Amino acid sequence: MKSFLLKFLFTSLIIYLGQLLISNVFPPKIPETAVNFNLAYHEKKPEIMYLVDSTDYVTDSEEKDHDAISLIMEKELKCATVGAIVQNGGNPDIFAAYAKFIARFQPPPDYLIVEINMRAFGAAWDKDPQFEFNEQKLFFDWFAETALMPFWPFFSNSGFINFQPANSTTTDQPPSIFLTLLRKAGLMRYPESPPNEPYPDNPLKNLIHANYMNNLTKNHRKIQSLLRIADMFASKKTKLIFYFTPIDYQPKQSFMGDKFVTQLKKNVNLVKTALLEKQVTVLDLSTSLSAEAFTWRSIMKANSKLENLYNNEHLMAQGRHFVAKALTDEIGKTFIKVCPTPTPAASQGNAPE
Amino acid sequence: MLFNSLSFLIFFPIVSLLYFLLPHKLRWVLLLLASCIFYMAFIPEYILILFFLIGVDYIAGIQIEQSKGYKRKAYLILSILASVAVLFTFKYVNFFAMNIAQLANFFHLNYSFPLLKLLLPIGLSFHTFQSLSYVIEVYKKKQKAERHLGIYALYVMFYPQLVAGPIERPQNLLPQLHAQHVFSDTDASDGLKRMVIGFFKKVVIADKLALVVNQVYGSPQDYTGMPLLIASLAFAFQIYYDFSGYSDIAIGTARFMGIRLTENFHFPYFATSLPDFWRRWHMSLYSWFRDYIYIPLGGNRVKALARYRNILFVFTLSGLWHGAAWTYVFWGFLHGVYLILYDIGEHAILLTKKSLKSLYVSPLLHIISIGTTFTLVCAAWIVFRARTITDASYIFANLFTNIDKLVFALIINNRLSIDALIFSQGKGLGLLPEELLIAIASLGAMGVYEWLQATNRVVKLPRIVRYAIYIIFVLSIINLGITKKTPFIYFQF
Repeated sequence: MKSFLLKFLFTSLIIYLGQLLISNVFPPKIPETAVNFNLAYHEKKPEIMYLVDSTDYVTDSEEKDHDAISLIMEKELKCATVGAIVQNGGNPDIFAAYAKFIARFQPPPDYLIVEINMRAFGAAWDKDPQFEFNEQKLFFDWFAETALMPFWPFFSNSGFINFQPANSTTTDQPPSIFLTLLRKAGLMRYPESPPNEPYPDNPLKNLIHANYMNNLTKNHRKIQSLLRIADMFASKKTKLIFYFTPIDYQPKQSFMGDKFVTQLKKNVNLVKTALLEKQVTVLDLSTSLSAEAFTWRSIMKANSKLENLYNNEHLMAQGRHFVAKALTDEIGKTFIKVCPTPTPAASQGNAPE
Repeated sequence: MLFNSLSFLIFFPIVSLLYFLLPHKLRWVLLLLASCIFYMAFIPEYILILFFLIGVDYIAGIQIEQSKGYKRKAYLILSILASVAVLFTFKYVNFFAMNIAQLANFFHLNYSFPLLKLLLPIGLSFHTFQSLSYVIEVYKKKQKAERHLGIYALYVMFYPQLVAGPIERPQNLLPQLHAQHVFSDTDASDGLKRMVIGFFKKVVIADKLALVVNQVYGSPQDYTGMPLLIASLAFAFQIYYDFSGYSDIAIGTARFMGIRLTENFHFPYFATSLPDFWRRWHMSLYSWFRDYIYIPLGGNRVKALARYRNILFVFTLSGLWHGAAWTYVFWGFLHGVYLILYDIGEHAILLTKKSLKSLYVSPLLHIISIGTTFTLVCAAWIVFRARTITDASYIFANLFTNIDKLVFALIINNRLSIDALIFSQGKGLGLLPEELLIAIASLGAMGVYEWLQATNRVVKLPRIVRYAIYIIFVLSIINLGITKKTPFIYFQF
């Protein structure tokens, strides 16, 4: 066994040297946004990190209030810095990968807010490759550590992530993509496990069913991802706040019947109970807003084929302000930061130019 | 637990090290525990199904050995029924229920059968067949009943081959599980080399080709011509390298501990005829069907018509073994038809080959035979991989659409047309052109390695060259492999 182990060690060394050579000839591609995140985090040192999907920002082109939830929070909390990582799809798996990365920062943020969009647990998104973000997950979960292994002796800048500062109001995901998704509702494919399609003649009903009405169990991998996030920060000073983003439940309830809300509540409670066991803060805003708080008017106007229902969670200004208030109220309970007072010279308007 | 996961990279060295550190009498406990952990990484509660099968067949084996006359047969039948019932419940009951309902609907009868909400236990068909193999061998008096329950459980559950074979015969595995194995440098390094080859096949070739196959076969109607052809060829190699990669890792893992598992593949795409292909592809399964179904039905000793009936039955059944879907059934049936046609034309084929041989065209004839066999096998794979028979028909109908345009574009080197005809259809090919080239190059490298192995040339290479080959394979796995945990295709069977 001894000679085998020696040979094995020697071979491992050869492989390591080979890998060093390869990595120097073909260095791994580190996403620019990832490097930027690292720099931005260490420059701005946000007290609050916010993992959220497209419900954060404005998607309705006709809206005049362009403040994203993260920016509203920043304004409300006066001198706090909010760092938002906006990843469409609200997939807790990718959030967990980001959280794993954030957990390594020194100093860690004081608060980590994780949005939970119940649509992300539905079969339609659950199996849709465009909402899986496998490359990002791979990068932030493993690649950042394993692929850079050969660089360990030489590589010190070890933080990268996709970072969007709070004051961004970009609409990088134009609504047309969602419309395409909706139009294709009847054609969507579920290669791994086709969800039940209890409404053979109504693709929109099937879509809503596949989006929200799965009977979740605690073993669902995305619930496990949320619990993983809770575990990551269990021994850290970072306070975790999970919240269920509001669902436009009223039109769906009238379209699908009471069973929509019943199933939604059942699933929300399941996730909530699992998280509460980890002793984190959970805010349930899932049915807190009426239909007016969601962006559907301009989309409805643009497309007459939508059967009086546009299936989304994007928020109008009142919705974004509502969510921001709920979060800042929660943070305000414990957030203590003395804002720097302006110098007398500055307050008298005599600041040197 | 998947072989291609970080968990296995930790699990394997720990189990292997403990195996050699523990005294012989405790090794079966370690391996059994390790196998339980390995299996429970998928769906923990399904281990109860395994325990049930183990319990039934363990008792049946002893009872068959101790009984005489009709009782022996009764115990055998009971054991077979128990295994088949488990397999049927978890794998086939919904398929049959849905088809009966559809049939009833066709005749305007209002009939429906409640569908069971059960997930298929991983590798169920494999360990059921392995367990059945033991009882049948005891019944045929070719194997003594195993009295050690732990060793018998390990025979069914031995983790390297638990979820996707090779399907072991008791005569091969049971004595090895009893034997005391001492650490051998040769076994350990041969085992590791075999695992490296398996990982290369899986993560560098199969998983990369899977990107093309899943993309195109996911919505074949979005494609015509070349993408369909590329994806179909890609699947032929994906399924081979996925499954033979798994077998290599399984064989290598066992070999590390000094246990030799049955070979499952023997360069099947070098087969010169369909019967030759079936002697090289998934050998442990097809010898199972041959020995326990085809031969008891009469084998080759019966008249031609009965033989053809038996071939069709066995191959259709083997299709159904793969999965509860008409595509698998049709795939098996198609291979049955191939073999019957080959049997009918065999005399003429051999005569032609003989006369052509005399014209000194033997190497060319050999290549034509390999090409023809490969083409027929690929055609059947289309049915196997397609989601529905309708999809398969679409793919067949459109496989060569616009090939003339592509040839013309290639001749005049019109890159825009080439791109439009290959890479820009539907949602794209799933791989960028340069990634596709890397996949093809990896395929070529493995092809050359397999050819060297098939012709026994690898061992003749200088030691340093062999060493370099394995180092290159490892580095390719690290740098070119798909690191996403993709389950092996045959796990679902």
